[in-house]
Amino acid sequence: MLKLLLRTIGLTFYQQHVGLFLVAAYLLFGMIQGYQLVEFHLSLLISICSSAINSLVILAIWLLYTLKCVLFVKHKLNLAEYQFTMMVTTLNKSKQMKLWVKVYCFLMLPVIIYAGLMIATMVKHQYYFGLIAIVGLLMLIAFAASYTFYASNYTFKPTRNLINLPGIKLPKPFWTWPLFYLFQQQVVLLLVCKLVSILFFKAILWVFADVGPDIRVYLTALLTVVLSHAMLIYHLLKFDAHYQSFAKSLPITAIKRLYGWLALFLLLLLPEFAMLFWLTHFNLAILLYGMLFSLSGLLLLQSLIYGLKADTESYFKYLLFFFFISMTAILAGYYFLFSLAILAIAVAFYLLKFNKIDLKEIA
Amino acid sequence: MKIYGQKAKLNLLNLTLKNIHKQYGLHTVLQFDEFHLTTGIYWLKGGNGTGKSTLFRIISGLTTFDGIVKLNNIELKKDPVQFRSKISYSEAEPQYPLFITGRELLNFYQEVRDAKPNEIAELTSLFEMTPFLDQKVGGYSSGMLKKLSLICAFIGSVELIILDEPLITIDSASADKLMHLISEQAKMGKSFLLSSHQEIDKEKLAIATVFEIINTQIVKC
Repeated sequence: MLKLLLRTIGLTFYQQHVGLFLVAAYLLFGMIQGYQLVEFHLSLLISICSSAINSLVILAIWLLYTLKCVLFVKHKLNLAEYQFTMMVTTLNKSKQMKLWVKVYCFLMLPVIIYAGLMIATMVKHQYYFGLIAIVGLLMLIAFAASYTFYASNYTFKPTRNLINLPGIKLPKPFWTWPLFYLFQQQVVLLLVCKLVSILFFKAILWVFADVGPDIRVYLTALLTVVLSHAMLIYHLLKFDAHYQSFAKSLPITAIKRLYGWLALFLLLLLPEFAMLFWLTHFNLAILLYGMLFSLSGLLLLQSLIYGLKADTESYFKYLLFFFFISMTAILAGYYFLFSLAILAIAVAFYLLKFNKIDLKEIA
Repeated sequence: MKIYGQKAKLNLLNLTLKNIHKQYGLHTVLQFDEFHLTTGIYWLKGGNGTGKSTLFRIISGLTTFDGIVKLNNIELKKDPVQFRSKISYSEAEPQYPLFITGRELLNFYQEVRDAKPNEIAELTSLFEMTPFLDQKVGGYSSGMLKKLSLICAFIGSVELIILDEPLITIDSASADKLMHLISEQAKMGKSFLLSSHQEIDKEKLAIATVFEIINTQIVKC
Protein backbone atom coordinates (compact mmCIF):
# COMPACT_ATOMS: atom_id res chain seq x y z
CA MET A 1 0.00 0.00 0.00
CA LEU A 2 2.88 2.36 0.84
CA LYS A 3 4.34 1.94 -2.66
CA LEU A 4 0.99 2.75 -4.22
CA LEU A 5 0.51 5.84 -2.04
CA LEU A 6 4.01 7.08 -2.85
CA ARG A 7 3.50 6.48 -6.57
CA THR A 8 0.16 8.26 -6.62
CA ILE A 9 0.01 10.94 -3.92
CA GLY A 10 3.78 11.28 -3.43
CA LEU A 11 4.90 11.67 -7.03
CA THR A 12 1.89 13.80 -7.95
CA PHE A 13 2.80 16.19 -5.14
CA TYR A 14 6.29 16.73 -6.49
CA GLN A 15 5.02 16.97 -10.07
CA GLN A 16 2.38 19.54 -9.19
CA HIS A 17 4.75 21.69 -7.16
CA VAL A 18 7.70 21.73 -9.49
CA GLY A 19 7.22 25.51 -9.96
CA LEU A 20 7.57 26.05 -6.22
CA PHE A 21 10.69 23.86 -5.96
CA LEU A 22 12.17 25.52 -9.00
CA VAL A 23 11.87 29.00 -7.53
CA ALA A 24 13.12 27.75 -4.13
CA ALA A 25 16.12 26.08 -5.79
CA TYR A 26 16.88 29.25 -7.71
CA LEU A 27 16.71 31.32 -4.53
CA LEU A 28 18.91 28.92 -2.57
CA PHE A 29 21.47 27.90 -5.19
CA GLY A 30 21.04 29.93 -8.37
CA MET A 31 21.74 33.43 -7.19
CA ILE A 32 25.03 32.92 -5.37
CA GLN A 33 28.32 32.44 -7.16
CA GLY A 34 29.92 29.01 -6.96
CA TYR A 35 32.69 29.58 -4.44
CA GLN A 36 30.42 31.57 -2.12
CA LEU A 37 27.61 29.03 -2.22
CA VAL A 38 28.95 26.60 0.41
CA GLU A 39 30.02 29.48 2.66
CA PHE A 40 26.59 31.08 2.39
CA HIS A 41 24.74 27.89 3.29
CA LEU A 42 27.10 27.13 6.18
CA SER A 43 26.52 30.61 7.59
CA LEU A 44 22.81 30.19 7.12
CA LEU A 45 22.80 26.84 8.95
CA ILE A 46 24.89 28.24 11.80
CA SER A 47 22.65 31.30 12.11
CA ILE A 48 19.58 29.05 12.32
CA CYS A 49 21.14 26.67 14.88
CA SER A 50 22.57 29.44 17.05
CA SER A 51 19.48 31.59 17.39
CA ALA A 52 16.12 30.68 18.91
CA ILE A 53 14.37 33.30 16.75
CA ASN A 54 15.94 32.02 13.53
CA SER A 55 15.06 28.49 14.55
CA LEU A 56 11.44 29.56 15.05
CA VAL A 57 11.42 31.29 11.66
CA ILE A 58 12.56 28.10 9.90
CA LEU A 59 9.96 26.15 11.88
CA ALA A 60 7.27 28.58 10.69
CA ILE A 61 8.33 27.95 7.08
CA TRP A 62 8.21 24.19 7.70
CA LEU A 63 4.77 24.61 9.26
CA LEU A 64 3.53 26.21 6.03
CA TYR A 65 5.06 23.44 3.97
CA THR A 66 3.46 20.80 6.23
CA LEU A 67 0.12 22.55 5.89
CA LYS A 68 0.49 22.43 2.13
CA CYS A 69 1.25 18.69 2.28
CA VAL A 70 -1.69 17.96 4.60
CA LEU A 71 -4.15 19.87 2.44
CA PHE A 72 -2.79 18.28 -0.71
CA VAL A 73 -3.30 14.79 0.74
CA LYS A 74 -6.77 15.73 2.02
CA HIS A 75 -7.77 17.06 -1.40
CA LYS A 76 -6.51 13.93 -3.15
CA LEU A 77 -8.26 11.58 -0.73
CA ASN A 78 -11.55 13.32 -1.49
CA LEU A 79 -11.24 12.72 -5.24
CA ALA A 80 -13.20 9.87 -6.79
CA GLU A 81 -10.07 8.44 -8.46
CA TYR A 82 -8.39 8.13 -5.04
CA GLN A 83 -11.22 6.15 -3.47
CA PHE A 84 -8.91 3.13 -3.39
CA THR A 85 -7.07 4.80 -0.49
CA MET A 86 -10.11 4.05 1.69
CA MET A 87 -8.64 0.54 1.86
CA VAL A 88 -6.08 2.00 4.27
CA THR A 89 -8.85 2.49 6.83
CA THR A 90 -9.29 -1.29 7.09
CA LEU A 91 -5.85 -1.51 8.75
CA ASN A 92 -5.50 -1.11 12.51
CA LYS A 93 -4.72 2.31 13.95
CA SER A 94 -1.02 1.71 14.52
CA LYS A 95 -0.43 0.44 10.98
CA GLN A 96 -2.38 3.35 9.50
CA MET A 97 -0.39 5.89 11.53
CA LYS A 98 2.92 4.32 10.49
CA LEU A 99 1.81 4.37 6.87
CA TRP A 100 0.86 8.06 6.93
CA VAL A 101 4.06 8.97 8.79
CA LYS A 102 6.04 7.32 5.98
CA VAL A 103 3.97 9.10 3.32
CA TYR A 104 4.55 12.47 4.99
CA CYS A 105 8.26 11.74 5.39
CA PHE A 106 8.36 11.25 1.62
CA LEU A 107 6.42 14.46 0.96
CA MET A 108 8.60 16.39 3.40
CA LEU A 109 11.86 14.98 2.14
CA PRO A 110 13.38 18.39 1.28
CA VAL A 111 12.62 19.59 4.81
CA ILE A 112 13.98 16.40 6.39
CA ILE A 113 17.21 16.66 4.37
CA TYR A 114 17.64 20.23 5.56
CA ALA A 115 16.89 19.14 9.14
CA GLY A 116 19.67 16.53 8.74
CA LEU A 117 22.10 19.27 7.73
CA MET A 118 21.00 21.28 10.78
CA ILE A 119 21.70 18.32 13.09
CA ALA A 120 25.19 17.93 11.59
CA THR A 121 25.80 21.66 12.09
CA MET A 122 24.58 21.50 15.71
CA VAL A 123 26.89 18.58 16.52
CA LYS A 124 29.90 20.20 14.84
CA HIS A 125 29.47 23.72 16.17
CA GLN A 126 27.83 22.90 19.52
CA TYR A 127 24.83 25.19 18.95
CA TYR A 128 21.56 23.68 20.14
CA PHE A 129 18.84 26.25 19.46
CA GLY A 130 18.19 24.34 16.23
CA LEU A 131 16.66 21.59 18.37
CA ILE A 132 13.53 23.77 18.60
CA ALA A 133 13.00 23.41 14.86
CA ILE A 134 13.93 19.68 14.85
CA VAL A 135 11.49 18.81 17.67
CA GLY A 136 8.89 21.02 15.99
CA LEU A 137 9.41 19.14 12.73
CA LEU A 138 8.82 15.77 14.42
CA MET A 139 5.63 17.17 15.94
CA LEU A 140 4.52 18.48 12.55
CA ILE A 141 4.96 15.04 10.94
CA ALA A 142 3.03 13.42 13.80
CA PHE A 143 0.30 16.05 13.46
CA ALA A 144 0.06 15.56 9.70
CA ALA A 145 -0.22 11.78 10.02
CA SER A 146 -2.78 12.03 12.86
CA TYR A 147 -4.87 14.55 10.97
CA THR A 148 -4.97 12.38 7.84
CA PHE A 149 -5.78 9.31 9.95
CA TYR A 150 -8.65 11.18 11.61
CA ALA A 151 -9.92 12.72 8.36
CA SER A 152 -9.98 9.40 6.52
CA ASN A 153 -11.46 7.31 9.36
CA TYR A 154 -14.07 9.69 10.73
CA THR A 155 -15.62 10.98 7.51
CA PHE A 156 -19.12 10.57 8.98
CA LYS A 157 -18.54 13.29 11.59
CA PRO A 158 -20.02 16.61 10.43
CA THR A 159 -17.48 19.36 9.91
CA ARG A 160 -17.98 22.66 11.66
CA ASN A 161 -16.83 26.01 10.45
CA LEU A 162 -14.32 27.42 12.92
CA ILE A 163 -14.81 30.89 11.52
CA ASN A 164 -18.22 32.07 10.42
CA LEU A 165 -17.85 35.14 8.28
CA PRO A 166 -20.90 37.40 7.97
CA GLY A 167 -22.77 36.56 4.80
CA ILE A 168 -22.35 39.60 2.56
CA LYS A 169 -24.20 39.29 -0.72
CA LEU A 170 -21.91 40.39 -3.51
CA PRO A 171 -22.93 40.58 -7.14
CA LYS A 172 -21.34 37.73 -9.08
CA PRO A 173 -20.78 38.55 -12.75
CA PHE A 174 -19.87 35.42 -14.71
CA TRP A 175 -16.20 36.34 -15.15
CA THR A 176 -15.75 36.53 -11.35
CA TRP A 177 -17.02 32.99 -10.69
CA PRO A 178 -13.50 31.50 -10.68
CA LEU A 179 -12.52 34.09 -8.06
CA PHE A 180 -15.49 33.14 -5.88
CA TYR A 181 -14.44 29.53 -6.36
CA LEU A 182 -11.03 30.39 -4.88
CA PHE A 183 -12.52 32.35 -2.00
CA GLN A 184 -15.15 29.78 -1.16
CA GLN A 185 -13.69 26.41 -2.04
CA GLN A 186 -9.92 26.87 -2.33
CA VAL A 187 -9.15 29.33 0.48
CA VAL A 188 -6.02 27.53 1.65
CA LEU A 189 -4.66 27.11 -1.88
CA LEU A 190 -5.21 30.82 -2.44
CA LEU A 191 -3.61 31.79 0.89
CA VAL A 192 -0.58 29.55 0.42
CA CYS A 193 -0.17 30.75 -3.17
CA LYS A 194 -0.30 34.41 -2.16
CA LEU A 195 2.01 33.86 0.78
CA VAL A 196 4.59 31.98 -1.31
CA SER A 197 4.27 34.57 -4.08
CA ILE A 198 4.83 37.52 -1.75
CA LEU A 199 7.65 35.72 0.10
CA PHE A 200 9.50 34.96 -3.14
CA PHE A 201 8.87 38.47 -4.42
CA LYS A 202 10.38 39.98 -1.27
CA ALA A 203 13.22 37.44 -1.20
CA ILE A 204 14.38 38.33 -4.72
CA LEU A 205 14.32 42.04 -3.90
CA TRP A 206 16.24 41.34 -0.69
CA VAL A 207 18.89 39.22 -2.42
CA PHE A 208 19.47 41.88 -5.07
CA ALA A 209 19.19 44.82 -2.66
CA ASP A 210 22.79 45.87 -3.46
CA VAL A 211 22.05 46.17 -7.20
CA GLY A 212 19.98 49.32 -6.79
CA PRO A 213 16.77 50.26 -8.59
CA ASP A 214 17.05 48.03 -11.68
CA ILE A 215 13.84 47.08 -13.47
CA ARG A 216 15.31 43.62 -14.19
CA VAL A 217 15.35 42.86 -10.46
CA TYR A 218 11.66 43.73 -10.16
CA LEU A 219 10.82 41.68 -13.23
CA THR A 220 12.78 38.70 -11.85
CA ALA A 221 10.76 39.06 -8.65
CA LEU A 222 7.57 39.16 -10.74
CA LEU A 223 8.69 36.03 -12.59
CA THR A 224 8.68 34.19 -9.25
CA VAL A 225 5.20 35.64 -8.65
CA VAL A 226 3.98 34.24 -11.99
CA LEU A 227 5.52 30.83 -11.28
CA SER A 228 4.02 30.81 -7.77
CA HIS A 229 0.60 31.16 -9.41
CA ALA A 230 1.16 28.25 -11.81
CA MET A 231 -0.88 25.77 -9.76
CA LEU A 232 -3.57 28.31 -8.96
CA ILE A 233 -4.11 28.97 -12.68
CA TYR A 234 -4.19 25.23 -13.26
CA HIS A 235 -6.93 24.81 -10.63
CA LEU A 236 -8.90 27.75 -12.06
CA LEU A 237 -8.89 26.21 -15.52
CA LYS A 238 -9.87 22.82 -14.12
CA PHE A 239 -12.77 24.54 -12.39
CA ASP A 240 -13.72 26.32 -15.61
CA ALA A 241 -13.61 23.09 -17.60
CA HIS A 242 -15.62 21.15 -15.05
CA TYR A 243 -18.23 23.60 -13.80
CA GLN A 244 -18.41 26.32 -16.43
CA SER A 245 -18.27 24.22 -19.59
CA PHE A 246 -22.03 24.78 -20.05
CA ALA A 247 -21.24 28.40 -20.94
CA LYS A 248 -19.49 27.28 -24.11
CA SER A 249 -22.85 26.41 -25.64
CA LEU A 250 -23.96 30.00 -25.07
CA PRO A 251 -23.38 32.87 -27.50
CA ILE A 252 -20.40 34.38 -25.70
CA THR A 253 -17.44 35.49 -27.79
CA ALA A 254 -13.90 34.25 -27.20
CA ILE A 255 -12.65 37.81 -26.79
CA LYS A 256 -15.22 38.49 -24.05
CA ARG A 257 -14.09 35.37 -22.19
CA LEU A 258 -10.46 36.45 -22.61
CA TYR A 259 -11.21 39.91 -21.17
CA GLY A 260 -12.82 38.12 -18.23
CA TRP A 261 -9.69 36.06 -17.59
CA LEU A 262 -7.48 39.12 -17.91
CA ALA A 263 -9.60 41.05 -15.39
CA LEU A 264 -9.49 38.05 -13.07
CA PHE A 265 -5.69 37.76 -13.27
CA LEU A 266 -5.41 41.50 -12.65
CA LEU A 267 -7.50 41.15 -9.48
CA LEU A 268 -5.39 38.16 -8.39
CA LEU A 269 -2.12 40.04 -8.74
CA LEU A 270 -3.35 43.30 -7.21
CA PRO A 271 -1.47 42.77 -3.90
CA GLU A 272 1.81 42.15 -5.73
CA PHE A 273 1.27 45.13 -8.03
CA ALA A 274 0.47 47.36 -5.04
CA MET A 275 3.68 46.18 -3.35
CA LEU A 276 5.69 46.77 -6.51
CA PHE A 277 4.32 50.30 -6.88
CA TRP A 278 5.10 51.07 -3.26
CA LEU A 279 8.59 49.53 -3.23
CA THR A 280 9.59 51.37 -6.42
CA HIS A 281 8.51 54.64 -4.83
CA PHE A 282 5.49 54.90 -7.14
CA ASN A 283 7.43 54.43 -10.37
CA LEU A 284 4.65 54.15 -12.94
CA ALA A 285 6.90 52.88 -15.75
CA ILE A 286 8.14 49.91 -13.69
CA LEU A 287 4.57 49.16 -12.61
CA LEU A 288 3.34 49.15 -16.22
CA TYR A 289 6.23 46.99 -17.46
CA GLY A 290 5.67 44.68 -14.50
CA MET A 291 1.93 44.42 -15.16
CA LEU A 292 2.50 43.72 -18.83
CA PHE A 293 5.03 40.99 -18.07
CA SER A 294 3.06 39.32 -15.24
CA LEU A 295 -0.34 39.36 -16.94
CA SER A 296 1.15 38.14 -20.21
CA GLY A 297 2.92 35.41 -18.24
CA LEU A 298 -0.30 34.26 -16.59
CA LEU A 299 -2.16 34.30 -19.90
CA LEU A 300 0.64 32.23 -21.41
CA LEU A 301 0.35 29.70 -18.58
CA GLN A 302 -3.38 29.54 -19.22
CA SER A 303 -2.84 28.86 -22.93
CA LEU A 304 -0.26 26.24 -22.04
CA ILE A 305 -2.74 24.38 -19.84
CA TYR A 306 -5.40 24.51 -22.57
CA GLY A 307 -2.92 23.46 -25.24
CA LEU A 308 -1.56 20.59 -23.18
CA LYS A 309 -5.07 19.54 -22.12
CA ALA A 310 -4.12 20.01 -18.48
CA ASP A 311 -1.41 17.36 -18.63
CA THR A 312 0.58 18.29 -15.53
CA GLU A 313 3.77 16.51 -16.52
CA SER A 314 4.12 18.41 -19.80
CA TYR A 315 2.95 21.61 -18.12
CA PHE A 316 5.83 21.52 -15.66
CA LYS A 317 8.34 20.85 -18.39
CA TYR A 318 7.09 23.95 -20.18
CA LEU A 319 7.16 25.89 -16.90
CA LEU A 320 10.85 25.09 -16.59
CA PHE A 321 11.38 26.25 -20.16
CA PHE A 322 9.35 29.41 -19.49
CA PHE A 323 11.46 30.12 -16.41
CA PHE A 324 14.77 29.87 -18.25
CA ILE A 325 13.70 31.77 -21.33
CA SER A 326 12.09 34.53 -19.22
CA MET A 327 15.23 34.87 -17.09
CA THR A 328 17.36 35.13 -20.21
CA ALA A 329 15.08 37.78 -21.76
CA ILE A 330 14.94 39.79 -18.53
CA LEU A 331 18.69 39.69 -17.88
CA ALA A 332 19.44 40.56 -21.52
CA GLY A 333 17.15 43.59 -21.23
CA TYR A 334 14.60 42.38 -23.82
CA TYR A 335 11.79 42.24 -21.27
CA PHE A 336 9.41 44.55 -23.17
CA LEU A 337 9.69 42.70 -26.47
CA PHE A 338 9.52 39.40 -24.63
CA SER A 339 6.36 40.47 -22.76
CA LEU A 340 4.72 41.56 -26.02
CA ALA A 341 5.72 38.31 -27.69
CA ILE A 342 4.25 36.08 -24.97
CA LEU A 343 1.12 38.23 -24.84
CA ALA A 344 0.67 37.88 -28.60
CA ILE A 345 1.21 34.11 -28.43
CA ALA A 346 -1.21 33.69 -25.52
CA VAL A 347 -3.96 35.86 -27.05
CA ALA A 348 -3.61 34.31 -30.52
CA PHE A 349 -3.70 30.81 -29.06
CA TYR A 350 -6.78 31.51 -26.96
CA LEU A 351 -8.74 33.16 -29.76
CA LEU A 352 -7.82 30.54 -32.33
CA LYS A 353 -8.37 27.56 -30.07
CA PHE A 354 -11.42 28.72 -28.09
CA ASN A 355 -13.87 26.90 -30.35
CA LYS A 356 -11.54 24.00 -31.01
CA ILE A 357 -11.06 22.81 -27.46
CA ASP A 358 -13.37 20.32 -25.80
CA LEU A 359 -13.36 21.33 -22.13
CA LYS A 360 -14.37 17.79 -21.22
CA GLU A 361 -10.84 16.69 -22.13
CA ILE A 362 -9.43 19.19 -19.63
CA ALA A 363 -11.90 18.54 -16.81
CA MET B 1 -52.71 26.97 -20.18
CA LYS B 2 -49.95 29.57 -20.36
CA ILE B 3 -47.45 29.59 -23.15
CA TYR B 4 -44.00 30.03 -21.67
CA GLY B 5 -41.07 31.64 -23.37
CA GLN B 6 -40.63 34.54 -25.73
CA LYS B 7 -43.09 34.76 -28.56
CA ALA B 8 -40.48 35.85 -31.08
CA LYS B 9 -41.07 34.97 -34.69
CA LEU B 10 -38.97 31.94 -35.53
CA ASN B 11 -37.66 30.81 -38.89
CA LEU B 12 -38.33 27.33 -40.14
CA LEU B 13 -35.57 25.12 -38.86
CA ASN B 14 -33.01 23.77 -41.26
CA LEU B 15 -30.25 21.91 -39.47
CA THR B 16 -27.74 20.07 -41.60
CA LEU B 17 -24.78 17.96 -40.55
CA LYS B 18 -22.45 16.89 -43.36
CA ASN B 19 -19.50 14.50 -43.48
CA ILE B 20 -19.34 14.20 -39.72
CA HIS B 21 -16.47 12.29 -38.22
CA LYS B 22 -15.80 12.20 -34.50
CA GLN B 23 -13.44 9.95 -32.65
CA TYR B 24 -12.05 9.70 -29.14
CA GLY B 25 -8.51 8.41 -29.41
CA LEU B 26 -8.70 5.56 -31.91
CA HIS B 27 -12.39 4.89 -31.30
CA THR B 28 -14.72 6.38 -33.90
CA VAL B 29 -17.99 7.39 -32.27
CA LEU B 30 -19.77 9.03 -35.18
CA GLN B 31 -19.21 8.84 -38.91
CA PHE B 32 -21.95 9.71 -41.36
CA ASP B 33 -22.43 11.66 -44.57
CA GLU B 34 -25.55 13.67 -43.87
CA PHE B 35 -28.16 14.30 -41.21
CA HIS B 36 -30.95 16.77 -41.75
CA LEU B 37 -33.66 18.18 -39.48
CA THR B 38 -36.50 20.58 -40.19
CA THR B 39 -38.95 22.13 -37.70
CA GLY B 40 -40.38 19.55 -35.32
CA ILE B 41 -39.75 17.33 -32.33
CA TYR B 42 -37.20 14.57 -32.78
CA TRP B 43 -36.28 11.69 -30.53
CA LEU B 44 -32.86 10.10 -30.64
CA LYS B 45 -32.75 6.58 -29.25
CA GLY B 46 -29.78 4.41 -28.50
CA GLY B 47 -28.00 2.53 -25.75
CA ASN B 48 -25.16 3.77 -23.61
CA GLY B 49 -22.04 4.80 -25.49
CA THR B 50 -23.66 4.90 -28.92
CA GLY B 51 -22.80 8.58 -29.35
CA LYS B 52 -26.04 10.42 -28.55
CA SER B 53 -24.43 12.90 -26.16
CA THR B 54 -21.48 13.31 -28.52
CA LEU B 55 -23.87 14.21 -31.34
CA PHE B 56 -25.59 16.76 -29.09
CA ARG B 57 -22.26 18.19 -28.01
CA ILE B 58 -21.23 18.53 -31.67
CA ILE B 59 -24.42 20.40 -32.55
CA SER B 60 -24.02 22.61 -29.47
CA GLY B 61 -20.45 23.50 -30.39
CA LEU B 62 -19.02 21.92 -27.27
CA THR B 63 -16.67 19.44 -28.84
CA THR B 64 -14.30 19.19 -31.77
CA PHE B 65 -15.27 17.28 -34.91
CA ASP B 66 -14.59 16.97 -38.62
CA GLY B 67 -17.38 18.05 -40.94
CA ILE B 68 -19.96 20.78 -41.36
CA VAL B 69 -22.81 21.76 -39.04
CA LYS B 70 -25.17 24.36 -40.42
CA LEU B 71 -28.33 25.90 -38.97
CA ASN B 72 -30.37 28.04 -41.34
CA ASN B 73 -27.26 28.90 -43.36
CA ILE B 74 -25.22 29.77 -40.27
CA GLU B 75 -22.20 27.51 -40.15
CA LEU B 76 -21.06 26.55 -36.66
CA LYS B 77 -17.35 26.66 -37.47
CA LYS B 78 -17.58 29.99 -39.29
CA ASP B 79 -19.90 31.92 -36.99
CA PRO B 80 -20.06 30.03 -33.67
CA VAL B 81 -21.53 32.89 -31.62
CA GLN B 82 -24.42 33.49 -34.03
CA PHE B 83 -24.96 29.72 -34.27
CA ARG B 84 -25.07 29.29 -30.50
CA SER B 85 -27.58 32.11 -30.17
CA LYS B 86 -30.04 29.90 -32.07
CA ILE B 87 -29.68 26.72 -30.04
CA SER B 88 -29.72 25.73 -26.41
CA TYR B 89 -28.58 22.55 -24.78
CA SER B 90 -29.36 20.85 -21.51
CA GLU B 91 -26.84 18.20 -20.54
CA ALA B 92 -27.79 14.79 -19.19
CA GLU B 93 -25.87 15.42 -15.99
CA PRO B 94 -25.54 19.19 -15.63
CA GLN B 95 -22.69 20.69 -13.63
CA TYR B 96 -22.71 24.22 -12.27
CA PRO B 97 -20.44 25.99 -9.76
CA LEU B 98 -21.59 24.86 -6.32
CA PHE B 99 -21.41 28.29 -4.69
CA ILE B 100 -23.77 30.18 -7.01
CA THR B 101 -27.50 30.29 -6.38
CA GLY B 102 -30.11 29.14 -8.85
CA ARG B 103 -31.16 32.77 -9.28
CA GLU B 104 -27.61 33.87 -10.11
CA LEU B 105 -27.35 31.20 -12.79
CA LEU B 106 -30.71 32.14 -14.28
CA ASN B 107 -29.77 35.83 -14.22
CA PHE B 108 -26.64 34.96 -16.18
CA TYR B 109 -28.71 33.08 -18.78
CA GLN B 110 -31.22 35.93 -18.90
CA GLU B 111 -28.41 38.39 -19.63
CA VAL B 112 -26.73 36.23 -22.28
CA ARG B 113 -29.99 35.18 -23.97
CA ASP B 114 -31.49 38.66 -23.63
CA ALA B 115 -34.61 37.18 -22.05
CA LYS B 116 -37.39 38.86 -20.07
CA PRO B 117 -37.49 38.40 -16.27
CA ASN B 118 -41.13 37.29 -16.32
CA GLU B 119 -40.20 34.46 -18.68
CA ILE B 120 -37.85 33.02 -16.08
CA ALA B 121 -40.36 33.57 -13.29
CA GLU B 122 -42.96 31.59 -15.24
CA LEU B 123 -40.58 28.74 -15.97
CA THR B 124 -39.34 28.46 -12.38
CA SER B 125 -42.91 28.55 -11.14
CA LEU B 126 -43.93 25.81 -13.59
CA PHE B 127 -41.19 23.50 -12.34
CA GLU B 128 -41.83 24.53 -8.70
CA MET B 129 -38.30 25.83 -8.33
CA THR B 130 -39.10 29.37 -7.17
CA PRO B 131 -38.68 28.67 -3.42
CA PHE B 132 -35.18 27.23 -4.00
CA LEU B 133 -33.75 29.92 -6.24
CA ASP B 134 -31.80 31.65 -3.48
CA GLN B 135 -30.19 28.41 -2.33
CA LYS B 136 -26.72 27.52 -3.51
CA VAL B 137 -26.59 24.98 -6.34
CA GLY B 138 -24.32 22.80 -4.17
CA GLY B 139 -27.32 22.13 -1.91
CA TYR B 140 -29.62 21.04 -4.76
CA SER B 141 -30.71 17.45 -5.24
CA SER B 142 -29.96 15.85 -8.62
CA GLY B 143 -33.63 16.36 -9.61
CA MET B 144 -33.53 20.06 -8.74
CA LEU B 145 -30.29 20.46 -10.66
CA LYS B 146 -31.84 18.78 -13.67
CA LYS B 147 -34.89 21.04 -13.49
CA LEU B 148 -32.64 24.10 -13.26
CA SER B 149 -30.77 22.93 -16.34
CA LEU B 150 -34.06 22.40 -18.22
CA ILE B 151 -35.25 25.88 -17.25
CA CYS B 152 -31.96 27.33 -18.56
CA ALA B 153 -32.52 25.53 -21.88
CA PHE B 154 -35.92 27.17 -22.34
CA ILE B 155 -34.70 30.71 -21.69
CA GLY B 156 -34.64 33.06 -24.69
CA SER B 157 -35.86 32.78 -28.24
CA VAL B 158 -33.72 29.95 -29.53
CA GLU B 159 -34.80 27.89 -32.52
CA LEU B 160 -33.58 24.47 -31.50
CA ILE B 161 -33.61 23.09 -27.96
CA ILE B 162 -31.51 19.99 -27.37
CA LEU B 163 -32.37 18.01 -24.27
CA ASP B 164 -30.11 15.12 -23.34
CA GLU B 165 -32.01 12.61 -21.20
CA PRO B 166 -34.51 15.23 -19.97
CA LEU B 167 -36.54 12.72 -17.99
CA ILE B 168 -33.85 11.29 -15.74
CA THR B 169 -33.95 12.22 -12.04
CA ILE B 170 -37.07 14.42 -12.33
CA ASP B 171 -40.38 13.28 -10.79
CA SER B 172 -43.29 12.16 -12.96
CA ALA B 173 -45.29 15.36 -12.37
CA SER B 174 -42.36 17.46 -13.60
CA ALA B 175 -41.90 15.09 -16.55
CA ASP B 176 -45.54 15.65 -17.55
CA LYS B 177 -45.10 19.41 -17.25
CA LEU B 178 -41.97 19.19 -19.38
CA MET B 179 -43.79 17.24 -22.10
CA HIS B 180 -46.56 19.83 -22.10
CA LEU B 181 -44.05 22.67 -22.25
CA ILE B 182 -42.27 21.08 -25.21
CA SER B 183 -45.60 20.69 -27.02
CA GLU B 184 -46.53 24.31 -26.37
CA GLN B 185 -43.16 25.63 -27.50
CA ALA B 186 -43.23 23.42 -30.59
CA LYS B 187 -46.53 25.06 -31.53
CA MET B 188 -44.69 28.40 -31.34
CA GLY B 189 -42.23 27.12 -33.95
CA LYS B 190 -39.38 25.87 -31.78
CA SER B 191 -37.76 22.56 -32.59
CA PHE B 192 -36.57 19.90 -30.18
CA LEU B 193 -34.02 17.16 -30.30
CA LEU B 194 -34.38 14.80 -27.35
CA SER B 195 -32.65 11.69 -26.19
CA SER B 196 -34.21 9.32 -23.73
CA HIS B 197 -33.73 5.76 -22.57
CA GLN B 198 -37.33 5.80 -21.42
CA GLU B 199 -40.11 5.41 -23.96
CA ILE B 200 -41.67 8.74 -24.82
CA ASP B 201 -45.46 8.70 -24.91
CA LYS B 202 -46.27 9.71 -28.47
CA GLU B 203 -49.74 10.79 -27.38
CA LYS B 204 -48.22 13.42 -25.12
CA LEU B 205 -45.60 14.55 -27.61
CA ALA B 206 -45.99 14.74 -31.37
CA ILE B 207 -42.68 13.19 -32.35
CA ALA B 208 -41.85 13.90 -36.00
CA THR B 209 -39.18 11.25 -36.37
CA VAL B 210 -37.38 8.77 -34.16
CA PHE B 211 -33.70 8.25 -34.88
CA GLU B 212 -31.21 5.77 -33.60
CA ILE B 213 -27.42 5.68 -33.73
CA ILE B 214 -26.22 2.31 -34.97
CA ASN B 215 -22.55 1.70 -35.73
CA THR B 216 -21.65 5.41 -35.88
CA GLN B 217 -24.53 6.15 -38.29
CA ILE B 218 -27.82 7.93 -37.59
CA VAL B 219 -30.74 5.92 -38.93
CA LYS B 220 -34.51 6.45 -38.92
CA CYS B 221 -36.49 3.99 -36.83
